[in-house]
Amino acid sequence: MRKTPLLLTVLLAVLLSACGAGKTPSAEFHPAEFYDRLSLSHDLSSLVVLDADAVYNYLGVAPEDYTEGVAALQTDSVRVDEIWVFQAVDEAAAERVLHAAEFRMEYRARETRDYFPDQYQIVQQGKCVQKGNMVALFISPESEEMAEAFSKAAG
Amino acid sequence: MEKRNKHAGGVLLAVLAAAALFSGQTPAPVPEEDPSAVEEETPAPVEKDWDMTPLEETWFDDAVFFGDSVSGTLQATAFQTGGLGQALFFCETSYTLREAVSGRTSKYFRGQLYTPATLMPVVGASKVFFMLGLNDVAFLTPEEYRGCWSSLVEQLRDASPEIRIFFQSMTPVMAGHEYGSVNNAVINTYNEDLRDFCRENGCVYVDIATHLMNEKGELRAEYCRDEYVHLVMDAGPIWVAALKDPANYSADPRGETS
Repeated sequence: MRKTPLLLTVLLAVLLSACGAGKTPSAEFHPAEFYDRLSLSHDLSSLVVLDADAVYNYLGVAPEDYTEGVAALQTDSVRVDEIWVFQAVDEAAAERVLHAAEFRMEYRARETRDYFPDQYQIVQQGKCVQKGNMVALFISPESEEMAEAFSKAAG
Repeated sequence: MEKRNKHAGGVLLAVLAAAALFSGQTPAPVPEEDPSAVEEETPAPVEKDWDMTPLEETWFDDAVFFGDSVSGTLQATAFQTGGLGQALFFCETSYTLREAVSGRTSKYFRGQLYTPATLMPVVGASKVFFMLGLNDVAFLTPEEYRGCWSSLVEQLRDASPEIRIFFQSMTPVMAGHEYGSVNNAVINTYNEDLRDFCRENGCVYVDIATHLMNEKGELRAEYCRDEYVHLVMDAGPIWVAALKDPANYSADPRGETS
């Protein structure tokens, strides 16, 4: 084999893998792992992760609608932070999860509007994001950043 | 009657004070009430002759808790460390007694909205606990909040005739941080009225407040989140322990429906 084509081939392979490095296929996205990574760069210590029953009972996300999910609520009674990350089973389920997330956002806004105006502002800046079958909700002073990280990770 | 006349003016002041509170301004001081103007009957002490063994966690499996932002700490404690079995919690910032009886479907369960009364048969609850009133005392006279309790009990029993109704005492305010009618004298009166109401209407009064207050009846500083009324998570286990102690109940918690 001539050296030049070999070098070109190697260079091409390196370039292609470099292009793909920042893009994680959604099949490899795991909500729990994403949440764990998020906790490394954001203080989520005051949030409590709900079990599947609580997710269904309080957030309206049915267990048959997702393969994996994390929903965490704030334990500090004067703060509103909340994070959801779900991998829905299909597009229709993702729509239902997104609908639940949007309802939740409206609910938290109504709850805080007159009582905790500073927390209401945080809710107003919250994000509901859908990427294919991945759905997330971020209510946090860092919602924008979290939503961007989710969008990137979910592909 | 004297209490109502005295409170009529007090409500106006309280409304103004509450408006000032929510606008971020310092409320005008409320004139001290003359204790001699009100004759209070001391209720006869309840003989507690029931089983004082701590309530099992499973006893709360068919219980539902409703509350406002103060109860958010109990809810968070239950989610984080358990202690109250499979109890369900619907604690919402700014929730009021008025809303609880309004017929407004605001309680969200598995994607549907309910009132407290219509939710009970859906979840199969046999016990319901309330801690409400903090967001009401600035706006309601004692007659009005008693009316709310009566409506609430009626609605609950219409929907679930066998339901056992437990009213938890309202927790106090931290010293030096009382605003208008949200003060410990008013809260104490509310709790005494609530205790009487429970006795007269077959409900059970649950004393939670005592366990969170200092010797002056103020919210203990170490349990206070915000120099006002909200609680830190450390107060959660205290609350759970109080709920599990039958001595804090005005009637046998394990008793049959009255």
